[in-house]
Amino acid sequence: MIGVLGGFVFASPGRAQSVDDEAHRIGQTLQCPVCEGQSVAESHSQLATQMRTVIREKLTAGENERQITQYFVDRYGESVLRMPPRSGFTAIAWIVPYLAVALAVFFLVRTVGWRKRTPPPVAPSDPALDTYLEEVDRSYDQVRDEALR
Amino acid sequence: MSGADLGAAALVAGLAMALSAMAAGIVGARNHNTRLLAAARNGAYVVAALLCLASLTLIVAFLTHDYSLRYVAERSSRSMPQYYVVAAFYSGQQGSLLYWATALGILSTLAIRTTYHRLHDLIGYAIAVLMSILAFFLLMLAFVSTPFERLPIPLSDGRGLNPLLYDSGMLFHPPMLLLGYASVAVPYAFAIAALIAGREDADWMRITRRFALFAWAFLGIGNLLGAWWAYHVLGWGGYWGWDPVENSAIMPWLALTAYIHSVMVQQRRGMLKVWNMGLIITTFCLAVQGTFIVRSGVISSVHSFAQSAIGPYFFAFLATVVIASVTALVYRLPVLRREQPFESVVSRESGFLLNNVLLVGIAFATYWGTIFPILSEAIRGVKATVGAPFYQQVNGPLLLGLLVLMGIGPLLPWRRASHEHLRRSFVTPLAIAGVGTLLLAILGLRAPAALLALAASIFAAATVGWEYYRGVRARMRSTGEAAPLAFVRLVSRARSRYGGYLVHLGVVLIAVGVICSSSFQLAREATLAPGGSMTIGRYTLANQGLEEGRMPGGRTVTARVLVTESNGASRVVTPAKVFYENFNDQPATHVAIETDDLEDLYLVLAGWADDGSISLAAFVNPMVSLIWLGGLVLLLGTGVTLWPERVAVPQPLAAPRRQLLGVEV
Repeated sequence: MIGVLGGFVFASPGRAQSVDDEAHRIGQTLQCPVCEGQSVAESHSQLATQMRTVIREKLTAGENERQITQYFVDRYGESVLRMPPRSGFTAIAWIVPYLAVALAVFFLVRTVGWRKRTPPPVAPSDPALDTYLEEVDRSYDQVRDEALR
Repeated sequence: MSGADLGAAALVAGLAMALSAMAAGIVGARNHNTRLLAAARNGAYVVAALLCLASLTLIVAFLTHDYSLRYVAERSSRSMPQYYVVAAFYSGQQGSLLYWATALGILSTLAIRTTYHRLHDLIGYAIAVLMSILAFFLLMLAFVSTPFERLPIPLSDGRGLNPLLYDSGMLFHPPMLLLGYASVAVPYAFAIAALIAGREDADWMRITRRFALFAWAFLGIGNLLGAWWAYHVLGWGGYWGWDPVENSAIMPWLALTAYIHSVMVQQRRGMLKVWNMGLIITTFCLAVQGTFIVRSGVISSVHSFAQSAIGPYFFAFLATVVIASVTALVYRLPVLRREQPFESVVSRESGFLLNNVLLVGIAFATYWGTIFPILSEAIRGVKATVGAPFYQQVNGPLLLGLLVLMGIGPLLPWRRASHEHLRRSFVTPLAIAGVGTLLLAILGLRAPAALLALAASIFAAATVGWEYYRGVRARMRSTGEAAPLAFVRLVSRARSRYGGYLVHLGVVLIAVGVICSSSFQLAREATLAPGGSMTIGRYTLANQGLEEGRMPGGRTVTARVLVTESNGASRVVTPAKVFYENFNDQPATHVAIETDDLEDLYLVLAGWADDGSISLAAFVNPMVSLIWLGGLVLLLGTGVTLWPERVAVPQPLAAPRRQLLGVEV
């Protein structure tokens, strides 16, 4: 186990990435154009393998991720990006979920009543009592079930 | 009359029976007519029996190689291994619809049997809802998409199953997941019945709780099995790709998780009645949608919707479900008043509410991501791609929030919490989490996102441990029992709570597995000449040769790879590709997975050349085994929760408890 945890030291992204790791990561952000939903990093198709080689070559030549990504977008169109761009029409893709959750939290807070007057403190519950009370509840339910049968 | 004709007749008879049982249920419930209700119940049993009969005839047709049936001919062949022949039963659209309906028929029988007397005012409506759902499926199976369609000329041999499916995953994942989808209908039916009958209390929820838990367990296991199968068969190094079919399978599970939590609030405090109704209706709609997406390929594009024959029917069914359910809900809105007010933000009620917001938020974000490409194509003609990175970035923070909440929630009391209570409950789990995180950081794990997520995981696990510890200690003090006995008695007396905690622990294990395997995955690709080698992590991989071989039904290409670890241990693994007859352009991948110290070495033979050199795709996936282990713990916890309790005869208070309560009896 310690060995595995120690292995994390090597894998931790805090260290310098090898070209392979970086290429794999970029490959994961690009969609293989001819496969059903697989990324360039994952697919075993010929095209994807070629694309992976191109990515590695470009990385070794010193290009950064944006240049490499733009290269593929120029050739295959926007749909080669696995994440919709954060600008333009596709910004909606990102805004809607965050907006929905923010709205939900807002309604949650309103429902629970954030600005309620502080009610008088309740005595701390004893776990033994909790379990016992649950037992009582359940016995009552069971007796009532029996009566209804 | 041949078996297939019998099966087809059974489907038609089942349809007629379902419709009449539905009518009897409605009329019997409205007029409180016991004889009609009994007739409805018996009718439901007959429908289930007829569905079983139809399924049986189809299975027999497969086993006897009856290639006069189109479905059997398309999905099996004489050279297939026998146990896959049975799996072929649910491998196609018609068969899986039949399986779905049969599963629901059996579950309905069980549900009706156990609740017929206890929920006598609801049972008629519940039967009606279940029968109407089955009637739809029987309609599809009898007339639109039937497994008993005959070929004009019987074939001598069938085409066989797609070789990708020749895996034990095929034997488990589809039946489990389809069972999960079908079983959501049961809590849904009772909820609608409660709406129609105008029930105000939550007693029916307590009695039907186990149906919801059952559905939840099988949806969860079905999804986990799917991930496991994808992991060791598809060969791309991962287990979840956020593709439309996967998303459609996880959404009902998320909604159902929210439901089983929020019903506790309704049972305890009479709140969230409208919300819970909406939630179970949504869950069922998602389950129906999931069933049809996985069986009809609807979602890949706007245009493929019309290609599947059942598409329009399914759409009509879903629309009917939505309209009818919402109508019932709106009609009963006056009955669903909140009984008690929210008292405090820091309470278990608001914890459950937040839990719901997060879970439904994740489900919504997933749904949105799945339909966005279609929207994009419809609105501006350009199809946007929404792949895994999107979901990871959007759902990631929400999932993290859920992990933290799993640590906080069980420690919160109902109604409101005093400072004293908070201090006593939270100090220990937080301290454990802090120490654990510090340890990880010291050991070299510095990636902030992963560290944060692991901290939350430790916190959630510490909460579970702390709750168990407190419970056992309190019991030991009040009854004088020894620790092991106290533990067993504690769990046995409060199965819902402590089984639930066990489920949480399972989820934490899964979370840790997912966090580690996605944050710290290593991936390398290389072409190795004969004798050449590559390194990944602490492993060195050497090409020791390429072999071609024959096996029943196809040929194999196997690479022998010598794996040497940094500590000197070595072994040979054999990733391979298999080419089955009839499927020569779709070879199946045999991934070589070696699990060691919870770390997976994952090798795929990506390509090869005549000179014996091989292209290897190698991955090191840390902690993936924790995901499967977590699934088992989850199942165990659900089992504990569902374990039926003996009806206890009320006992007089024992002396130590009288003292505890300060009561003189």
